[in-house]
Amino acid sequence: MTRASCRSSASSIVLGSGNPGCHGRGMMETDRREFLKQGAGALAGISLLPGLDALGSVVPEGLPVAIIGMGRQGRAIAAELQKLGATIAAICDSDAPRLTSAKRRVPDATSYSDASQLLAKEASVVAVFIATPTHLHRELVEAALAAGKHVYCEAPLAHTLEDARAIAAAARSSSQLFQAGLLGRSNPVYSLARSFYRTEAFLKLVSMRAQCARKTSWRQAASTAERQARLDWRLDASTSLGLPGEWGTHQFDVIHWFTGQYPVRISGKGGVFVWEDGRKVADTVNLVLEFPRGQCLEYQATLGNSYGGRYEVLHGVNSAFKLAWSHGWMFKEADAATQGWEVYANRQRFFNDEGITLIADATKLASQNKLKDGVGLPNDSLHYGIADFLRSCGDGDRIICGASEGLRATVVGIAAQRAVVEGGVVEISPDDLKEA
Amino acid sequence: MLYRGALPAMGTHFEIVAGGDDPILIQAAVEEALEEVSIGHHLWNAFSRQSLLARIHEAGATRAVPVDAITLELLCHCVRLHQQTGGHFDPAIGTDLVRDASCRGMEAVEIDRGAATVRLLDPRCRIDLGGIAKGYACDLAAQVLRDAGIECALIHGGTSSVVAIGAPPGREDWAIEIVGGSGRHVFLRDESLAVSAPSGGGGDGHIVDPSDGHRVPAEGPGVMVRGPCATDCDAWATALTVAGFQSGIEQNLPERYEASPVEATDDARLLSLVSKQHSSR
Repeated sequence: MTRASCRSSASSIVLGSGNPGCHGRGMMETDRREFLKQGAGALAGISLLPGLDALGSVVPEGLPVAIIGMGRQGRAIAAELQKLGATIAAICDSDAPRLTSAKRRVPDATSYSDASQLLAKEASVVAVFIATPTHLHRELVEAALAAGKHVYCEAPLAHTLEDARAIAAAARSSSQLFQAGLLGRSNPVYSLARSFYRTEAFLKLVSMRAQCARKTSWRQAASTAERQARLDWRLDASTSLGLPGEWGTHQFDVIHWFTGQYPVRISGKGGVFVWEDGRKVADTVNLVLEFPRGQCLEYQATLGNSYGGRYEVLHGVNSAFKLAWSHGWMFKEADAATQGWEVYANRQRFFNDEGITLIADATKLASQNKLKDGVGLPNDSLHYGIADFLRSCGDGDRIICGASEGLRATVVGIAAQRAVVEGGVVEISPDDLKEA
Repeated sequence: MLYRGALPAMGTHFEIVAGGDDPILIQAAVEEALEEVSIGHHLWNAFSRQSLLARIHEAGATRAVPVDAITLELLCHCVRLHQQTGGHFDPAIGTDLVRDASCRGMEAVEIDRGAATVRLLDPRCRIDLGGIAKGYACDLAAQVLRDAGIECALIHGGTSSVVAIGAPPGREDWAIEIVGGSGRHVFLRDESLAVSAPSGGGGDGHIVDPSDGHRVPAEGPGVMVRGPCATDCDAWATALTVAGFQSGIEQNLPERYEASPVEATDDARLLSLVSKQHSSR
């Protein structure tokens, strides 16, 4: 359905609903049915994506894959792969206790402590998921691509510009597929919001704000000092991109994807305000990312308080979007034109504001009178990122987020961490974002 | 020193108290353990569209749904415990089937271990893991703590499922008061405990009797089960609450498990744990 036809349909509904005899308790049952039917039609305007069921059904079942790195992220990937029906043929971790623990979750997989052994012996494996610490990605990506495997690599791609560029170069020169794990681009709610971003429903970008708040030490449990040091790589300034890199990269990329722009300047501050355990990597950071046309993204991340969790807010002239990964809302300005479909949309109140819930599968759910059931995605964002990758591996669909996008997001993450460490301003030139 | 961590999950509150010499290790281990609980919460919440159970329910009899390893293991435990308890523990009697005696319950859940899939043979069937998930989550959390080398911890889910690892510093065991048991204490060391009572969830109680689909009367007695595994304790406490003592099913309790009745009070499910953690004999 085109947007024009949607609007035409919507305006007729709005006129009908404005008639006192046609709504509220006085509505006839036949009117109500027609009302819902038209509403469902109008809702087609907001369902610009395939349904969530369709997204799941096209993933090739039984595709043999391997996971390298079985920490928290590796185990989360394993769980989503199992839910998607992939065959996890092999797993690898150089840390013996982690490998033992992972074996309980993936009992049928062959386990390896050395990734090169896995790549040499697992000829049937089509794709490899790399979920190791960031500073170990480069060597593994290069080896996996050289071994003829498609590669899904967690983001940020690397902890240095040199490694990130080497990964992008390896992906470009390989005939295998490469996907960077930037999950906003695969998220159905985000895709829906982005479709609005390009319309009058949002109009012009005014400003942006994002945060990631969790109360966690960011440490891993290890019973020896040597193992502790190895597992706590996020707290080691020589290997970690800190909160701006490890968390911010994913959220900055959402802004890149929506706006089509990358920041030109980043200022930052941060410090260890909560976890005074000898760490040097900041547990709380505040950043301002300035974009080419002058709009700014204010970003805050902390390990000290979980209030608000993780979200991004984009303020436009006609509405604001709040995107919280599993959920999304549109907050319309009072003077914004009525689109029609929002009359029937599910809403949630946030103090003085009312948000229209962004529901990815709205048309189908509305036709079943189950629109409210659609609030919130049925899976974690990781699920959709992995599903996209498996689909690409299976039928050659285009990669949703390739090495170029991964590199540029990583460059921004590295610059943001530098701004925090230096407590100053870091400029990003167009050349910085180039692959070579 | 003792470190405490908590998490709202599964409609209740999970809490871990762990002790040891290395505060960094303890804290990290407790965080990892609570993360296991959080994963379970998202997978097994029957009332959330985000849960794996919702996908199984939605697929009904039309297709087998691939599941992750821990969900598969939990459902296999359900099948085993359904059989051991003579059908008195049946997590496939969901709320939609209350008063529907034609329900086939757990027998209508097809689990393919090899393919790691689950399918409902009866599309009306609804899986509700409320009678076992807290215990299983406590066991998963305990495994994380043990893997990390923690030798002293107490984990509870909603004060109705408990795992004790070792004992508090300078004590022989963890002391737990049963609120509905006239101040009676239970002492645990490397052992698990679960209590269940039919009170709660409105006038007719919140536990469904799988034999007839009726809710177990709220004023009935509760049950406490202790043994090596919180998963089994939780399921057995539910089954014995449904069947009652003298029903004979307690004879099927595996070795090293024991059960006893708990006085019915308005809040018979409650154990008093953390406030009594230092009161070991």
